[in-house]
Amino acid sequence: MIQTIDLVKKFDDFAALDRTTMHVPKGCVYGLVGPNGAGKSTLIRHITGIFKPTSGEVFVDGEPVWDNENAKAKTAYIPDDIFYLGNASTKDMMKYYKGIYPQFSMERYEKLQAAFSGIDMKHPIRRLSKGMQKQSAFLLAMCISPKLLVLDEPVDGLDPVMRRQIWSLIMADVTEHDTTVLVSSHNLRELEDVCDYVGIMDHGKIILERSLAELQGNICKVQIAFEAEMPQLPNSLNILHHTEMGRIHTLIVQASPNMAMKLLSPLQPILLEPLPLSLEEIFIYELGGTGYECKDILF
Amino acid sequence: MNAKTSYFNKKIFTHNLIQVLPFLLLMSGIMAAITLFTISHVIQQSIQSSFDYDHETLIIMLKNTLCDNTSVALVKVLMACYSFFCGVSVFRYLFQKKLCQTIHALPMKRSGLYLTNLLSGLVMLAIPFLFSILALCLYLPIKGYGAACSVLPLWFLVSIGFCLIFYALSILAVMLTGHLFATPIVYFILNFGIFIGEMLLHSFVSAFFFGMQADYVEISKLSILTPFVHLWQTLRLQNASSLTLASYLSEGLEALVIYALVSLVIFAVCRLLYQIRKLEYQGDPIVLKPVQPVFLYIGVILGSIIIAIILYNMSYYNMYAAAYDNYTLTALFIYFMLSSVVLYFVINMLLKKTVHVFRSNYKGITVYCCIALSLFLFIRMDVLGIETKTPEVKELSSICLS
Repeated sequence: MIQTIDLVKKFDDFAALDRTTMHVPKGCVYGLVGPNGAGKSTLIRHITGIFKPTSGEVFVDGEPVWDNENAKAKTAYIPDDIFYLGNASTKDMMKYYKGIYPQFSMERYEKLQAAFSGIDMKHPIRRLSKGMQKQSAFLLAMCISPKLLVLDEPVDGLDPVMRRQIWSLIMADVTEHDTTVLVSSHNLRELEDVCDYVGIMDHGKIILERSLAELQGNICKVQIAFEAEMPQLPNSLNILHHTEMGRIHTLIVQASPNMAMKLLSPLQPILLEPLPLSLEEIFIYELGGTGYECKDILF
Repeated sequence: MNAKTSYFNKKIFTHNLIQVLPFLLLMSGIMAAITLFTISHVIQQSIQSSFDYDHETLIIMLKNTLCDNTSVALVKVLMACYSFFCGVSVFRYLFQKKLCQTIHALPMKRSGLYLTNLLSGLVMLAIPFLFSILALCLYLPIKGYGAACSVLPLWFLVSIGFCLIFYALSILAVMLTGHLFATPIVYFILNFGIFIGEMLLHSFVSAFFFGMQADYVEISKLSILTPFVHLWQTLRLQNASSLTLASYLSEGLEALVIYALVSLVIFAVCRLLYQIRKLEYQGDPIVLKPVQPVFLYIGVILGSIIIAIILYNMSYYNMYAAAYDNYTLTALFIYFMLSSVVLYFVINMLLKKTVHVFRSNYKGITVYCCIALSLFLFIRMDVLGIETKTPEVKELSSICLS
């Protein structure tokens, strides 16, 4: 659905995007994660057709995005800092979008009003609370009937009930209409529940892009303890991180849990237990080699 | 999925007009009030006058008054300012980061956005005049002078023709700038830069040849590059008795047509500028980076001349004697150079929005100073023999003996 090929964006001498290549399959929920200043928002602005690349290409559903009204008509974008026209209410914005987006659905608007019953449709959006503004943004975005939904910190500021409701609406849209969702968020715990694919970005590049299942299958955390000193660990086991607390050693290894168990069992430990690795931990350890070192805060 | 919009979007068009509706109504009221006041004043004067004007004569007087209204100074200034407002209001989203990104994420081509906004600005421009026409079409027949309404289409065309060049320059100023405060400054430079620059350079350079004097500077043929000045001179009633298009406009018609064609060219240039505009430079005074040095050096040269003349007059001009005492033109040059250095860095700070400009810009000012010094020596040594030249009789415009 989305493809960027060697995308470069320079702001004077600074390269915000450095030959970024990304591929988002159709109908998936793609989580774009990265540290502050990685270039996520800049990348999103290229995908939504706001910025023109210095070089490289951006495609949405096979069409180049830049200055292409057909490609942009398929995309609904909710930025982290929502902005509306002047003193417009949700109803005013509905009329505005109806006149611009070809696939705007009034039927959907009326149906979703029930789901977002807390919003006063005639009240100026800028006077609503941050959470209500987000709800209004979601309501309007979904009425556009987009093929691609681009969300930048989508549920920031929403109460837990509304967060769940928003995500279920998004997931329902993905299932029913094969909508592709690109989410950029720092809330990795929440992304883990909804994403199929994850792209980790750093210094203007996508350093890792994989399905979540594959990512979690290729890296695992193991707790191991020995009666005496820890013996030499097998060379074939790629250890990304090692900490110890007393006799208990915690290893982050680049292998599946089964493979890790198979390689460590011959050492006859008194304790050997694979633990699930969260997306947050994967993010931290993948970026650890590139200078983003916060590993030790976990232990 | 084909977008609804290609080169025009009705929703954005109507939204632009609705957003400025209060101001449109205000402007319409002002224009209608000015024209109605002027017309009623003429009617009142004719009634109170000792001359017994016949109906036909009064009709002609009213027609002339209407058209001559365009040449009234206040109306010209009002129309130039209003044209600026129209250009800025339709493209104001370019000065607000969030709104700019919201608009450019919409499924519209930039050419479509540009054309839609351009047309909505033109309609905004026309509405006050149309409102005035409506008011006059109601007022004049009631007063018994309905025949004077026949001049209204001419009046409308001339008024819109006058505004068109200012509207085009306003959009050009918007396309060159990324900050709302910079836009009126650039608009002023586009409108008066050449005229003021010519006057200042003439005064400054001639001071080195003939000494500093407060002589009247004639408006030269270059005034055509300053629409406001040129139309000020040419757009006036030529023949009061017969109101045909040619008799009314004379030189003004030629100028209006030329400026209208130039406006179309400016619109086309602005379309290209909008296409290549980089939104990440929103907020910068000048968004088109190659053009930045032009504004920098124009500002430095003209600003330095103004400051140098002011300082020079403060140092050497004797108000009581109305003459310069013990002056030296080297002092004028020194004032000019000092002002240039200060202005160079100050304008750089404004353009780059940072105070850290000294290290990165010392080469530019060094080259500038070397060129200025060379020119000063060139003039002082009178390499071209201008100072010692005896003009032909036909070249003289006036002689002053002191």
